[in-house]
Amino acid sequence: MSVTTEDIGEEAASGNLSTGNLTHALQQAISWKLSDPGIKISQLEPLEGGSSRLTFSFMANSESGMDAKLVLRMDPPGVARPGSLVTEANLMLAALDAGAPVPRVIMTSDDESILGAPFVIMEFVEGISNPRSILRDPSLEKLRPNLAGMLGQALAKIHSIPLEAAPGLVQIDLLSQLRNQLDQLGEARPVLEMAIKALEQSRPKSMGTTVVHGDFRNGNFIVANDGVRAIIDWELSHIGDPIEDLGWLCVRTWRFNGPGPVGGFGAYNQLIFAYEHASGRVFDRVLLRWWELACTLRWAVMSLMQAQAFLQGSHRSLDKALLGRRVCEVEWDILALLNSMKR
Amino acid sequence: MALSDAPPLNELITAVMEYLQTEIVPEAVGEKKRLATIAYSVLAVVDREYTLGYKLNTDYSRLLATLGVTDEEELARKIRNNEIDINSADLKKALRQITTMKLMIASPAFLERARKEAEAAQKRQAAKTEA
Repeated sequence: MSVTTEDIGEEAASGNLSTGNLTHALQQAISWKLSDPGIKISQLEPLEGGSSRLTFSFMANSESGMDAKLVLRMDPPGVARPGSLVTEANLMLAALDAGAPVPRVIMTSDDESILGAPFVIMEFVEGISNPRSILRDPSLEKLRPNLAGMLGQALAKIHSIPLEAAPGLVQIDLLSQLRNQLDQLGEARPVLEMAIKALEQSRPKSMGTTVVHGDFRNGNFIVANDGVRAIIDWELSHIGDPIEDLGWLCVRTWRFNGPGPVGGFGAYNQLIFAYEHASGRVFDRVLLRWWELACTLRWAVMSLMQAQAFLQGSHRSLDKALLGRRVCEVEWDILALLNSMKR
Repeated sequence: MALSDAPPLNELITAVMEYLQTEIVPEAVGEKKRLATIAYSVLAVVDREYTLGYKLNTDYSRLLATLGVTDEEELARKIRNNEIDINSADLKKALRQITTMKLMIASPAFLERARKEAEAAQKRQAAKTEA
């Protein structure tokens, strides 16, 4: 799948990321990939997204009849993480093979001479991904009561991806990772220490070793009234315990004040039953609660890391400043979960 | 008596908040609007800390003292080294109170919502036990 400098020239190798340059470089790359020199790229526009990547949508048309809306995702030039986007793209292809709803990948490369940074090009999926719209948009009325179950089924598919089909993913034991991150933060917080101690003391048996999406939450799926169209943002994918993805989906932050514990719209049992039925992995509410606590702790640690980026000056922004003061919200959730684990 | 003349600090903060709310937020669009709203929230935190901070800090020190520590760092270290039992009712109660006090400054709306949710959950639990 890789393209070399000789193939399409060095137009974008300068790293100058103007829309004009990028459009031109994209046109050359896609023409080469699809062996169609007549392809024209237009309407290159940035897409909103909370990730560390640059994301654009654009149109690709050609006289031979191509008329497609596509998405470009790339590392910001200068802070490329070689291998990472290509791993993500290969995983998305494997997810498609496994039957999971995921945008079709058209092209990916680590070669920074093509667009100025590693990138992936995929189809644009029409639908709604804004979490608040997912919770409130009247056009999704029929979908909402079934969404938690549909997501359970999608997760079962993701977790069925053969490990050898997703090379380059790192194996992560969430609890050990959290312990290391807490130690590295250098800011000891009693509630977080209490949480990790409780998690260590009640560690459940593993439910297997699978691909884990790693950021499976309200905001990272595209839906329409007829169902889940695509799972996106595979940036944090890794190998781990599959129930981690279910726990993350239930973290209160991702409910956006909606009433249902699953993403703000669903009930625990809907998610558990659908996932059990589709995956064959049988577990109970207690196990999911352990993972919800572990994932809530993960969000506290991630928030603290972002607040530190503000404090140390590497990322000055109002959002990150406020995030530091909001860690106590996550700590409240942790205390409530610890309380409910005793019942 | 304070060195600085009127208006006091909280009046100055409130003046900027009012300016953001009436002049900036309604007219800003997109990212600017989002950030102006966050700027307002940041000042609201400053305002609450100014008003509540002194009393809450006194309560906070007293709470930590009941656990035999002087700061959260020390408490966290003791939990990590198993010098305090994480199932201790006193510890849980104190951490709950400390978190509540932090929320009173940082996020009172969250606190109110979370308390209501907890009450509702308790009622459901009680109903279940009765049945």
